[in-house]
Amino acid sequence: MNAPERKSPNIVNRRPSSLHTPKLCFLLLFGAALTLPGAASATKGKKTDLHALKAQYKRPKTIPHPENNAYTKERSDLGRTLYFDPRLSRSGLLSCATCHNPAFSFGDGLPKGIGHGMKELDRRSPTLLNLAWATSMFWDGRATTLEEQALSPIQSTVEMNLPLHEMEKRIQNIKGYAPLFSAAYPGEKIDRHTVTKAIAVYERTIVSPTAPFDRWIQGDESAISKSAQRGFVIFNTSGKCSQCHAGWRFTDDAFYDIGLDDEDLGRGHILPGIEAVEHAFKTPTLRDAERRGPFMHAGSLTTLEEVVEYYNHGGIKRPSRSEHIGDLGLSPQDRKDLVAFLKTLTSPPISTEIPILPH
Amino acid sequence: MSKQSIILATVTCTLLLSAIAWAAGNAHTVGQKNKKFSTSEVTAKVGDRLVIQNNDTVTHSLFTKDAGYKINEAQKPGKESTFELDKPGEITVRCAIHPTMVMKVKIEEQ
Repeated sequence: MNAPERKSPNIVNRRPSSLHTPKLCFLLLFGAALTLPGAASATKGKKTDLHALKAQYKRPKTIPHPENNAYTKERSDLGRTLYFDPRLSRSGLLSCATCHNPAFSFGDGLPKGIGHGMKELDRRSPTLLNLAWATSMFWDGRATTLEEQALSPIQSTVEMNLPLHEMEKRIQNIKGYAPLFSAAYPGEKIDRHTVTKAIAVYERTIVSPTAPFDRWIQGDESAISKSAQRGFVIFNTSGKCSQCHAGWRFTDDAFYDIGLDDEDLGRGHILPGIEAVEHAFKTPTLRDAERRGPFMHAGSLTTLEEVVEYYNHGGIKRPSRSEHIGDLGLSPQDRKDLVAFLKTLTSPPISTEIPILPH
Repeated sequence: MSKQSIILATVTCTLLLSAIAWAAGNAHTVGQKNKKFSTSEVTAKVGDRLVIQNNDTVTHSLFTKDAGYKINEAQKPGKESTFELDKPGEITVRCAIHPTMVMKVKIEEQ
């Protein structure tokens, strides 16, 4: 079980307290603006205010839970139980954890997800890391809350393929679930609403533990290599990565066509006729990227080096392609530094207790 | 006065009156910066104009299909678009690229 489920959903208790050390706070607040040696090619002679850049990557102190589905341990425990329960699928074989497996940083390590009948889906399973802060769900943003999102794969005929009324009946007929629901949502029925609310509460506790990058942001200069530090500057300047992979979650929750050559219209499927979002997909987080290949919405690139190389040229040109995409002119050393930086986003694994499923 | 002159005068007057009526409507100007609209709500009257400026460094894609309005316009940085509010109703204007950008526009009868 990870810490936020077991204790308070207050992240600050789980992190090293470097930001609370007076000496480091002093350095962060009053230290002179720094420039990084070796980042000159990235900034084309301009000095980069490293303190200002680093300030954009500070992590929040608490997990936001909505008022109408507040965090309680009982809700999170119930949600985790449902999350691992394959009886939420028609076959009885697929649970949420099948495609969003904690052992793969809440993805599945495959180019594309595998759904009902072992059939390959159209897109890669996205990670669930840090979705408590997300404002749109799925690669195409067709849901805006985790409560709305969780019901979709259950009833999707190509995914878990279980109509919601059947799912409700199944869960109601498992006697061991009754006390879990009444503890989590007293006075409420066992139905699709309480099922999805509990899963959402659990999913909000899936937060990346402190990575070397976070320790560097907190003031530990030795937490990441000089190459990675140069990579951070490139990420924010000539690499243009931070235009979309913004903030501590490394996503702006927005949708861009990055020029990948495939037929999938992405957000264009749900907003037909809007050219700007044809072939556009949600900016994925980069947290734990090192562990979550293959990459892109259909798993078309295998390594981080390939991804960086791809962005250096930017794929095919078409009217919908984002203005952020194009020739970057990154040198081999720039690309190496970028990959070194991306690897600093790898957190220690989230320890997840596998629940004993009720009968 | 010849028949042609009367027709010309009528057309000119109509155009002039239309132009005056159009100009008389208020313009409600909304900016977009840091992936946000400068306001989340606008209240207007039928005959007013909604002027949306992109003061951002990124392209936005305005859209709505509410209340008989059809807005679908990609806006590069620095561009401005004007939409005539010619029907009453309530519309939600969004950016298709940045879904957190949402603005409600209430158009009341004159």
